[in-house]
This record gives sequence, C-alpha cells and structure tokens, in this order.
Amino acid sequence: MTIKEIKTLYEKTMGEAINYLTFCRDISLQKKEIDELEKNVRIFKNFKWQANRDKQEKLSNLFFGCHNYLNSVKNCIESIVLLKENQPERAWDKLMNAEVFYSWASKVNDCLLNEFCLMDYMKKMEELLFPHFKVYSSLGFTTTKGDCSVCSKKIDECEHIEGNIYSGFACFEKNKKVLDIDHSALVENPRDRRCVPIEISENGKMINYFTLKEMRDLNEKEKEECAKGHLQAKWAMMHFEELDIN
Amino acid sequence: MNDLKYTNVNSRIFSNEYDIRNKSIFFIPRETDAKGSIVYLQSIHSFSKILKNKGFECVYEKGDNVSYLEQHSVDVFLPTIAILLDFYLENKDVINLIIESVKTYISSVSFPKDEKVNVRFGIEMVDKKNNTATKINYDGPKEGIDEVRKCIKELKK
Repeated sequence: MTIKEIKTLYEKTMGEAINYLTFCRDISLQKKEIDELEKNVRIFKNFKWQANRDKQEKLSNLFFGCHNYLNSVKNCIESIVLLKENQPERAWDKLMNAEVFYSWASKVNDCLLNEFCLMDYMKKMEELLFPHFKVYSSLGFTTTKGDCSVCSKKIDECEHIEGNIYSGFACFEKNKKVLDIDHSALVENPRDRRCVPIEISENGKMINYFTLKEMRDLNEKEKEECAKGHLQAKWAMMHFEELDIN
Repeated sequence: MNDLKYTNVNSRIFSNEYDIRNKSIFFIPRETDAKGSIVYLQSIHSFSKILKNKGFECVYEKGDNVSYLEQHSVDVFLPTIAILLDFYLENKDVINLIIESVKTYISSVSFPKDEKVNVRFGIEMVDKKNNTATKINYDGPKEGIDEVRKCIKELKK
C-alpha cells in the first residue's frame, strides 16, 4: 500500500469508528465496530513493523500514533458497551485506558489525530456518565529491576529513556516484580485514575459507588467502626495490567 | 527531597570502593536497612541515562540487594544527588546541567495533555569543615527553572 492509501484507510476507519461513539447506537453494531477497530489496530501495527524494518523512524512513529489513537477510540466504545451491560466499574477502566492510549498517541508530532476532539469527548463522557471522584488511591511499592519495553534488555543496561518513543515503540519499564508495599495514600491527582472507590458504607450498608445499589449489610465490627465516624470502603488499589501500547 | 545523610551505604560509596575522583554524580538511596537492603527511586534508571548523555557518569549500587520505589501519584520523584567539591571545582557547570536533565526527564515522562508541570527541588551546599550549609529551594513551573540559574551563580560565589 502507498502512504496515500494508508492515510485514506486510517481516515475511513476513524470516520466510521467515531460514528459509534454516540451512546444510543445499537450495542451489537458497536461490538462489531470494536472488532473492526481491533483488526485495524493490528494492521497499523504491521505497517509500523514494516516501517521500523525499513528504518523509517518518522513513519514508524506516525503509525505508533495511529494504532494508539485507534485503540483509544476502541476503548471509548468498549466503555459505552460496558455501561449498557451494567458494568460501570469496567466501563470506567476502559475510559481511563482510552485516555492513556490517547496520551501516547499525542506524543507523536504530526500524528493523524483527526479533527474529532477525542480528548474533549472523553472528558464529557467522564463528566456525564460517571460519578465524580474526589480522591483516588495511590500506592507506593518497591520492585525489582524490570526490562526495557523497546529492546528487552535490563532497564539500566540500554540507552532508552522512559516516556520517549523510538522508531514506533514507547519506552517504559516492564516485567517488574513487586516486592513490598511501601505506603498507600489517597490523592487528588493519581497517575492511575482507575484506582477509585468501588463501594462505600452508608446507613449500615455497603453501597456501590457507581450504581448506588445496596451490596450487603455491614457486619458488627464494621458497624462499630462506622459509629466511631470511620468510613468503610472497598477500593481499587492497584492495576497491574500492562496496556498494549506497543 | 531527601536530606543528605551519610548512611552506611553512602559511606561505602564515598569510600575507596569507588574511584570518586573520576566519577561525578552520586545517587543517594532513599533508604537503607540493617540487612543492607537499599531502596532507590524508580526514576533513577532514566535519569542516570539522561545525565550520562550529558557526559556524567553516575554512581549508585546495582546489586541484588537493591530495590526500586515506584510511587503511583502524578508527581515525579527524582533521586537525591551528591557531588563532591573536587568534581564540582572541575565542572562548574554541573548544577546547570543537572537542572537541564531534570527538565529533560520531566518532558519525557509527561504527556502533552499535562497542562501545567510544576517542579520542586532543593540544592544544598554542605561545607563539612566549617559545618555550614547554603540552600536554594525552587517550587514552580518547569519553565521557571532557568531563573534558578541566577541564584546558583550567587551560590557559587
């Protein structure tokens, strides 16, 4: 394929995908679109590999931006589908994943980000479809030394710097083993916004923070703690899933 | 920023185990324990590479007893650095270059959507002989770091 044909394919894919970001679209059509996007993410990754093999750094980076942008849209549609299927916690995770993919895509200069303002759309989705989270959990933990995501060497044995993109591949540390939890904190600005409250105590019950549905009665010990003014909460403390950025 | 403390491991780093005259920058561990375990901040890997690109070799422990602290807040934490006087006198621009490296690191790990990036750091010059210390603290946007250089000139006098 020529670059012009690839660009046309990308614009066509994006144009169709954005159409399914509208909430009221049929869920089965949205699922079909998710499959289509998955396929196109793979296609653009293949373009990237070819450009990488041909040592075309700028083009490799461009395709990196494309597949991450497509993945971002895909995660947004998945978030909508999960909301329709009454799985708001997973829908929130998907929306946050979409933000991460978008952030990586936006690191690429001249990325074909499309005229559609996906970031604004995601912000609106967040405001209108999910509860407001005042604080998030933030863990501090010690790990072993991991590997470089670009060259797979130990992270201190190569020259790649975290956060940079090298010929279409983002550098981050992977395959780390968590050794110990150092601290946990509640913060307004976490690195991982998937770490949100899932259930909180209210009037002797645990209430789902997303749906407000009563989940269970508090046990005696929990009731005693609540009587002292303590809040009982079930919290997503940490996500170990590594997103498919590369 | 951590205090400059001469813990056991730092004593070892500053001892004959390393040729400190030809080396330049030392990373101070965040903590050490009685068993000899050492904890550095996770940012040490990329930050040391950025410094290396500017021509400085960094000294820190890399053995099996080392672990790395990762903090999942949006804040970026960089290791505490120690520079010896001999090296500083031969490389008077080192502080400027370290500050430049901080900017490079922050630009690498932040995303374009991060509208405002604030930086906080302290520079402390310790004169052990006269038991004195001079300190400069900065807390503000990363663009303002250049202003700190003027203060550093004062510190050098």
